[in-house]
Amino acid sequence: MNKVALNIEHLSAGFGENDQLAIQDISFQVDHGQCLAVVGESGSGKSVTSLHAMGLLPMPPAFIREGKIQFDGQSVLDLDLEERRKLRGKSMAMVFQEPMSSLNPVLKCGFQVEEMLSEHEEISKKEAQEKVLKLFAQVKLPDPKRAFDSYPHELSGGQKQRVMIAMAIACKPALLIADEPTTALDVTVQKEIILLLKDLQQHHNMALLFITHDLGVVAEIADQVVVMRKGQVVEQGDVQTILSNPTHPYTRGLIACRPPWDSRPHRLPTVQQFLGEVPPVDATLTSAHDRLRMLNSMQQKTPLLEVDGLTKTYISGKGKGKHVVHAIKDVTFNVFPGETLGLVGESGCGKTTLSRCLLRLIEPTQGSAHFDGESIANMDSAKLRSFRKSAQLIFQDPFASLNPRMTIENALMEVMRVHGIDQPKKRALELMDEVGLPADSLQRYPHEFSGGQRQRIVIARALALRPKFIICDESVSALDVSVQAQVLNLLNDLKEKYGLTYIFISHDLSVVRYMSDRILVMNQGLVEEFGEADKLCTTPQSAYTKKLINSIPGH
Amino acid sequence: MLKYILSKLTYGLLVLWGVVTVVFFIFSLGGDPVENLVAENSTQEVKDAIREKFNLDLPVGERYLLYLNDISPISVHSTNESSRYFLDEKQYSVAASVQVGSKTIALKAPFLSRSYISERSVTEIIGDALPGTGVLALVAIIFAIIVGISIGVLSALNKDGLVDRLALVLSVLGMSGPSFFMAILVAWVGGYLWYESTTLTAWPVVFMLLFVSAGLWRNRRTGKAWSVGLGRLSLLGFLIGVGFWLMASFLLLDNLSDFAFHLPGTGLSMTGSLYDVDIWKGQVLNLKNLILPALTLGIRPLAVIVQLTRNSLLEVMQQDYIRTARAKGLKESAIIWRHALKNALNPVITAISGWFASMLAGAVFVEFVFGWKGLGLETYNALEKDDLPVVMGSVVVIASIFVVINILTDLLYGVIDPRVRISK
Repeated sequence: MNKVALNIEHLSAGFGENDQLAIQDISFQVDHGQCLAVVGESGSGKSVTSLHAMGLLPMPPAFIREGKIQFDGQSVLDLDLEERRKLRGKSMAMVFQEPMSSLNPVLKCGFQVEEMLSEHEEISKKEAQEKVLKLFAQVKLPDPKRAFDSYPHELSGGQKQRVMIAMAIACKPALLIADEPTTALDVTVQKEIILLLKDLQQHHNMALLFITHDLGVVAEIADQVVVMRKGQVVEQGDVQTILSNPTHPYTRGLIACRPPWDSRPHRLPTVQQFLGEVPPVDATLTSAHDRLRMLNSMQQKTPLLEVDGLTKTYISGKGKGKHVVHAIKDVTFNVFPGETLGLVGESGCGKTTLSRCLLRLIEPTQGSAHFDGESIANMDSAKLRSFRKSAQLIFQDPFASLNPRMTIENALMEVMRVHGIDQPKKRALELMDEVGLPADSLQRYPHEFSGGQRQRIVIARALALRPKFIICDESVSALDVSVQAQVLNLLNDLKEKYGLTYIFISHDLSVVRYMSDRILVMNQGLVEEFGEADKLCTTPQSAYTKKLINSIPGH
Repeated sequence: MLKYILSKLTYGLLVLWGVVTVVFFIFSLGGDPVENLVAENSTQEVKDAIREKFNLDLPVGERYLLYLNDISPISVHSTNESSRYFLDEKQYSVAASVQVGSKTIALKAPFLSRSYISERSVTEIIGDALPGTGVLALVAIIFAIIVGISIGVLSALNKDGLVDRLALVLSVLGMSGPSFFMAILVAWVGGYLWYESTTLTAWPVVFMLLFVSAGLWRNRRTGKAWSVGLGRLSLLGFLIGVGFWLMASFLLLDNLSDFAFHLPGTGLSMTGSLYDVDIWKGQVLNLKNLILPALTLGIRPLAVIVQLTRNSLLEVMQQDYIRTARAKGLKESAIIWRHALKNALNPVITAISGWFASMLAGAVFVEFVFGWKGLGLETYNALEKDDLPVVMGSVVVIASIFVVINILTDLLYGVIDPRVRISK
């Protein structure tokens, strides 16, 4: 057997009829029994490369300009379609990013794996089913028998990804490609999946091509690293060397722009700064002493928001089948003016329900919330109107939260018209300047902007009414790390300039720690822990917080 | 589950009640049916006698109540034999009855009263007509499903190719042709023009074959896949063949334009029913008569199914799980039939069930043109003669069919897509 499992040489490829190349001159190789991580942000070409290796891009519209892809010493580009199909699944397998949509919703999980075995191996139905059950046990699905007979929607996200992995390793492939396999999952689940992949890779002596945007994950799993940017390889080498001693400014920027765990710079460095495109930010560290002093002075004022015993229950069914779910239960906290309160928890913990209750988008079942001394639930329409003006929400998905058929100007003017702001046109221009977008953006439509730019527009829309209180619901989760740093800096700049108060919701504890003065940890609708940010992170009291901290990749 | 069906049934009953009410009043407020029933110079006594017989002497409101009581499975009756509410066991098929004071409460089959014209029971009339329509609609929809889904899949796989475009043209024609026009067209072509052996010019086929073989030869030399560009070549060949034939006929080159295929005739008659009445043998099943009306009735759902299947399948083929199926190394046929089609069929099922219900109801034109003995033709005749009980009976039956089919469709979704399966 060849030592090299996958060898890509000088690969240039693209889409469509114009000569736009998505990747240029990519070369790397993965040895048997080795894990190579391909790191890059969206648009870096990492997925295109792996999909070409699998032969999963329909050509046309995709095309390969030049280069070689060799699997086990054999050039796969010379094979015909039927021969490539037989390689897929049997010798090279792939795990995708979205376990929710990557499994067929109308077929049982067991069958979807079994089908793969019967396609590639001479095996009876009974043997195949037994083998699937074994595989399910191997990927540590809690109840293999039940998972076998379940449809994908009956399993959790992490369980679905385990089914995907079981499927991928079913025929003991020599090469496993994992394309952002943990990005859509909760941190604690991410940790488990990474450990599982690492374990399986060593156990089966597979070559693992691990694609990710997260350098923290790379440190956990990879032997070798390839860093890609805009379709080109900028740096590659041994994982220790790359992470501790990167030579390319882009890699250095990528490493630096993640919020550090143990210190708190005034602003986060950005990738652009390392590439010399913008002047460096003020990254002086704030000392723990100063921070405590600031927090103390903040807490002298009367709280802006007081939440007491807030509970929201959903009831499904009637009579015997009645099922009561506490989305949030007995949540109590307060937020002082000028403070950033971090809210951490995994999916389903009630973060979003809480933020919606606070903005009176849904009615709480019990408990009260007071904003500026007024009970939010009992406001009359005039007071509610002024409350809506001073409390704003920034959503997670900048692609879904802008109307695709409205120009940016209309999107901004609409809110201002509703609340009767003077000279909305002038204000719109000011806002663009504020969030660092060119003035001509106003005439354009959302699809003309990148994710980071769209999030800036959403921020501008939230700022339009000069609010004093903003809830950021996972506002940076959908963004690339380098863009995330820019948006976090922008949020902090605006906070300083206008004395804003934030509730910053995220699943990413290191981002929350960087942003917040105090942190509220939620789990299954309950408050697990609430306290000063640094103290909570260094000496966590609850077991759940400890688990969250331990799950941070690279920590 | 049971609760779900019950709530659907209750809802359906409300719909039925509404339909019965609306139709009853529309026809009751119209003309006087008695005038159509009697000879022109009949005496008032004769007319009155007929009125009394069919309850037409009662005010509309009471007639309506009487009708509702008749069609309701649970009904209240008088014990007085001369009352119009008397539970006459000869008329009603009663399952059980209880005496409460001077009233009888009965559980019975819905009674649809009798035709004004033939005085036959409406249940019997509909019972005779329904199988004809049922068979016709069933054959038409099966034809539409099988052919429609196949063409839809083919179109989706050859997106923007020749097959796809042809299918689109045919679908637009099929969807836009009114059924009475299509019925006449199909009857004329299938039952008259092509009744006997027909000749068709062979030139287009000859040219098509020539062009395709030239294309195959070219593809072998250039090393392209065998199917590349053949669709276009065959169309080009066909058109040139047609042109050649027209030229030859125009120039009166008889030996060129006479080169033709001889197609055996269809031997189908333009009109006829499921059962022919033979003088010697009585009723004879004649399945040949089914072909033309079923074809006509199936054209429109066929067109809809083709486009729905195509679009839905194209959308599904873009989904992540199809990419997963490819990554598993499955054969393309398994990907399409096992993974894609099952997901793509939901909108198609909605369309099919909707069409099937309306085909049972709306075969009126087709049945009329082909003289097919079915519910549609029966309703048409009854409407012409102001035969209210038969019209009402058809309406009740058709509406019930709609309700039942809608419930069945909802259940079918659950079978195909586990995500909509109703819990509990």
